[in-house]
Amino acid sequence: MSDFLKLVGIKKSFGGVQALKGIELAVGQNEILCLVGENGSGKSTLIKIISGDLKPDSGELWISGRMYKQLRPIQSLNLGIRVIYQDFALFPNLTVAENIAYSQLVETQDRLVNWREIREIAARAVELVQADLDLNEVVGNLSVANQQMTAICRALTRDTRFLILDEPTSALTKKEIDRLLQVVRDLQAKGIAVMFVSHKLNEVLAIAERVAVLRDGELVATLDREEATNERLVELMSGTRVTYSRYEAKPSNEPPLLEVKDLSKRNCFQDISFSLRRGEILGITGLLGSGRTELALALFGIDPADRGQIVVDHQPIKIRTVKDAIKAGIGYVPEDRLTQGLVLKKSVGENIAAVIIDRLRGWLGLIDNRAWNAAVERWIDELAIRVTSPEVKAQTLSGGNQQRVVLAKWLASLPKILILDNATAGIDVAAKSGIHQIIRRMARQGIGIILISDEIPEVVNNCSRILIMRKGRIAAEVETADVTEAEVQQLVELTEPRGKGEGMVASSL
Amino acid sequence: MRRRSSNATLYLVLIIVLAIMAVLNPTRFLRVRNFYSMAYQLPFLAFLAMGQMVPIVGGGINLAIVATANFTGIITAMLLRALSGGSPLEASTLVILVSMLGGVLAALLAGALSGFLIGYLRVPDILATLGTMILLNGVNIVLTKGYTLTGFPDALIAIGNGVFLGIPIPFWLFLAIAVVFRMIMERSVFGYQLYMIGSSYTASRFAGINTRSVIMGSYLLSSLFAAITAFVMMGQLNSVKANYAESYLLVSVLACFLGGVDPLGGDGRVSGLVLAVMILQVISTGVNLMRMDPFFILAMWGFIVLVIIAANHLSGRFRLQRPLRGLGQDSGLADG
Repeated sequence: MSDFLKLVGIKKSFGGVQALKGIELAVGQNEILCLVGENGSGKSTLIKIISGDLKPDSGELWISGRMYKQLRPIQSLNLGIRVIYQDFALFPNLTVAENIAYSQLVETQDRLVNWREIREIAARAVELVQADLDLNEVVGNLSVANQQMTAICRALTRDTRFLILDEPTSALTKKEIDRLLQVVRDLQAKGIAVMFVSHKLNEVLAIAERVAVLRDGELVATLDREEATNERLVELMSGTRVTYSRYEAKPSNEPPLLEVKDLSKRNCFQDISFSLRRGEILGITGLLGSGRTELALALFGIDPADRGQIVVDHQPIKIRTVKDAIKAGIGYVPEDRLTQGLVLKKSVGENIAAVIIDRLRGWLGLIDNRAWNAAVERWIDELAIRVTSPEVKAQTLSGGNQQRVVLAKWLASLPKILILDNATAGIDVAAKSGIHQIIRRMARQGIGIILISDEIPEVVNNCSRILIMRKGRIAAEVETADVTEAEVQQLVELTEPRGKGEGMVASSL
Repeated sequence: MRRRSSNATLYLVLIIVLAIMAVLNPTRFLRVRNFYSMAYQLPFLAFLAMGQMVPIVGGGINLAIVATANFTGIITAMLLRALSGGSPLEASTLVILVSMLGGVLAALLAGALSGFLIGYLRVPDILATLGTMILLNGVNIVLTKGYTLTGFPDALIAIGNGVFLGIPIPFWLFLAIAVVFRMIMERSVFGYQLYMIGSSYTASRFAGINTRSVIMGSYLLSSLFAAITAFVMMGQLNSVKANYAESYLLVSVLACFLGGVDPLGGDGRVSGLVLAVMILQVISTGVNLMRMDPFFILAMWGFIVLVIIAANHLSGRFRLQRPLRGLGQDSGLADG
């Protein structure tokens, strides 16, 4: 047996939904296997079963020729399996050396800290990947790429046989990605198997020896590098040949609905200027940490900007609180619907009523039940939210349905401007296209929409214009009619912030 | 309109406790006189428990509630004495009203302090109200120099001690206030927003709910209940002191948990709280009739709460609900 890991018939379901429907997958001793799949296809569940964080309902895990029904996290570690999650799980207030040596020190169970040992452990790990890391730097001060290197080094302090990288490139620039791919190849040469989990196909194709494709909890294909092409993978991942229809906004000569001028917030974004017309869908994209979410939160009053001007309907306004934003007609659908978008413990109806509650006041200032029911039912209807009753708790709904509840909450307030911040993350393809239909319908009704997203196809196909942010600035602005998805992807990873001139777009294409 | 959990367990417990006490005190428990004395005593705990329920529903707690009640009593007593020229027993109605108003304002001031610290400065609720409590306890002792203040006019004493149509006035007050309180918590915009904030502070903020003013309001309302409690206490004890009823602080919290108020905030019904207070009162009265050590009452209360929490846990109601991650969300948490 030369396979390090072999999964046989792994099944897992959560409360009636089958997340994994019998996975068969093998990873060789020092192979680089890429695992691709849409959000919600079961990638995370699969990783967690291998790391021992979740128990499979049935099936077998074979590791180095031994069979396990399930793994406990500590067993998985002892077998040499390491997972580096997207958020790295580092201690931001400790130094690089402390972070790297931490898990090994815990294992020895010494009561006293041996500082020399910490440095030695860390130095050895850093040497292994030839990373350029200052051991004494506090991790919180590092760039994302270096934080990731720290996480990789930490994973390598003990006898590592199999490294799983979960979406490792979502916050990296092109150069940093190349560096990471090189490190992965070096690790392979040292006899470590790697599972590279990603949805960015160009990287997958650059590094993979084999590609496994997950869709709706099933392993739909395992392709060798030679068989894998971009188109083939996309088709496998989505099940259908996704033909995104492009949204064509009616060009209008109306004055802008929203104008933002030189908006800045220290350490977040600088000199942001753009305008948004009624009925327009404006896309904003950029890497994680490029300042796009911070910009949205400033427009929504959660973390107000330091300076700059915001004009809505010709009225210069100040947005210091969420109330100010709502008064100006601005709504915000966050990426994190579980903590920011929804009060999970409360019912669908109570969530929908949250923004408009002041308009539902009746006799003595008490809530007018009839107005409440009418509003809740209307918006459940309009957005086709599938619930047996408005009293169902929000936490029991599927991701797509939950995001519809968040949209309903905002649409009920009849906003002029709606900001969607990665609002379709973690939602399956069908539900996602349902949300896109809603967004387009809202735009046709005259709402100005700002669509922030990681997913280039999402912005390219739904928006008429795209702003590309980088390091807190708008690095480029493109009309979607003029570009392909690949060109936008390139802009996201390569562009330098736009300087005084506007010539950046052409030169970086 | 909004789904509410049932109080079936609490009704059952109340009946069982009543039955047990009737059996243990065969001649004395099921007497009109005994129910009269329960109706006399119950409002005190009920008002404290209501005052505690408000911040707990909002995700906090008010540890200063008893200290605030004592503060109210002391300020009222001192104003009475000062405004009536040293003979509070003959104070005019106007003087009584002004003194009580002064007491209420003092309570609201204390509530505003906690509310400001928690709602505006985001100081953790336990820290903020613990600080307010210690501050007030100190002020109370300084104001009274540790002495008991006594001698109040009849009109004031009637609030805690009077009888109307054969039923103690504090019980009438309790009935009226419970109805209003239920409207505030379960029908008003403030109540709705408080439950939302208690369920998720962040999501409430992202929905534009003014978390600051609602949290401030919850501590003001809590303190208002402390003031009402103070007036009942003045009537029943005919005195005020810096450290009366301190053991009732934790009993007020316990009554909330017994009544099904979620310790993490966001859930709990007024009717459940009222049932819980009744259960505690029946136990206390029954144990008293048996001439047992009064501290045994505290032990019994604690025991009952543990039993109910265990029962609820087994039936799955109180358990910290695990979010159903499978429903299209499992990967949403990590993939996103």
